[in-house]
Amino acid sequence: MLHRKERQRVQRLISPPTGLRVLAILHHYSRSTSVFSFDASKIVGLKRLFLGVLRNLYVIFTYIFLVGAERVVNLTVSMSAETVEKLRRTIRERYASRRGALSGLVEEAVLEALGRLETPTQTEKFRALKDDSIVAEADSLKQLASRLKDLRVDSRSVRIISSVHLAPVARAGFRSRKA
Amino acid sequence: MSAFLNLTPIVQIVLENPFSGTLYPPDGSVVATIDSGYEGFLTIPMNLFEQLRLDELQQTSRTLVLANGEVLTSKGTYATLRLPHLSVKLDGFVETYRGLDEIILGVEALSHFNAILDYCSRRVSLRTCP
Repeated sequence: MLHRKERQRVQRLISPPTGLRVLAILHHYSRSTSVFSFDASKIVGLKRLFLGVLRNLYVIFTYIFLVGAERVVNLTVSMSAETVEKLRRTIRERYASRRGALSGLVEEAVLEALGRLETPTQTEKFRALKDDSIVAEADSLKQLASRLKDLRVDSRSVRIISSVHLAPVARAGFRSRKA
Repeated sequence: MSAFLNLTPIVQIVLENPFSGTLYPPDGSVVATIDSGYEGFLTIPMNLFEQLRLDELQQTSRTLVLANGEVLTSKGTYATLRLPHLSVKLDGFVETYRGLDEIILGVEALSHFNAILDYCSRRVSLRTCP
């Protein structure tokens, strides 16, 4: 039988049944003579637990390496010597030339730029209205003016509107003041 | 060119009424004050609005709320803004109201740029969006 203090120690080690703690228990008993007086069923239980933990760890590591791990590929890009020097200086100053810092910073910048580019930009169209019906439509005012000219429509007789809604109320800013 | 004028950011612009072919100024450029508190595109003095013959086009009115909470009614129409140093042309709503004596560039125009106001080195940088 185990001594009371030894039992408490085992319980303390067992409480969160992690692989590391189980290894520690087994290591402790492999060096202790009292292991021979330990109940056989408990040793079998511990062995099962240990094997179970090993099996789970195997599954987790296989998942990380085969499925979950991010694939890293090498990419060669050209930049101006000035930019590269700036980049290297920043890496030296901020990250103490830590391994992977350059790739990390470049990837972060690329992701940020891609995010910005992927944001949909609103395309504005300009319309000339006469009695609420569209006389002409174009992507720019210059184009619209030329279409109206082609249609022989006087620009003063139409109302120019934009596809981008004009707010009926807007803040005038800090420089505007009443007369 | 964009710069600071007594710590106020300014930019040099040219205005165009594409329907009449009128430019202001006819030669060179004019200074516009950048005001990030103005939610519109561009506000110009009334005499300039008339010189550009924008008053001849049909007008749209709207309400502008001043910084002190007072309101005023502006009128305006669409015109073209050019930034010669960037070779950029932008179309937007150009408005005016009585009493205004300077050209104010608002956030609607700024939304087309990557704008940096560097007060440390007194540098105003405007770059077009990618």
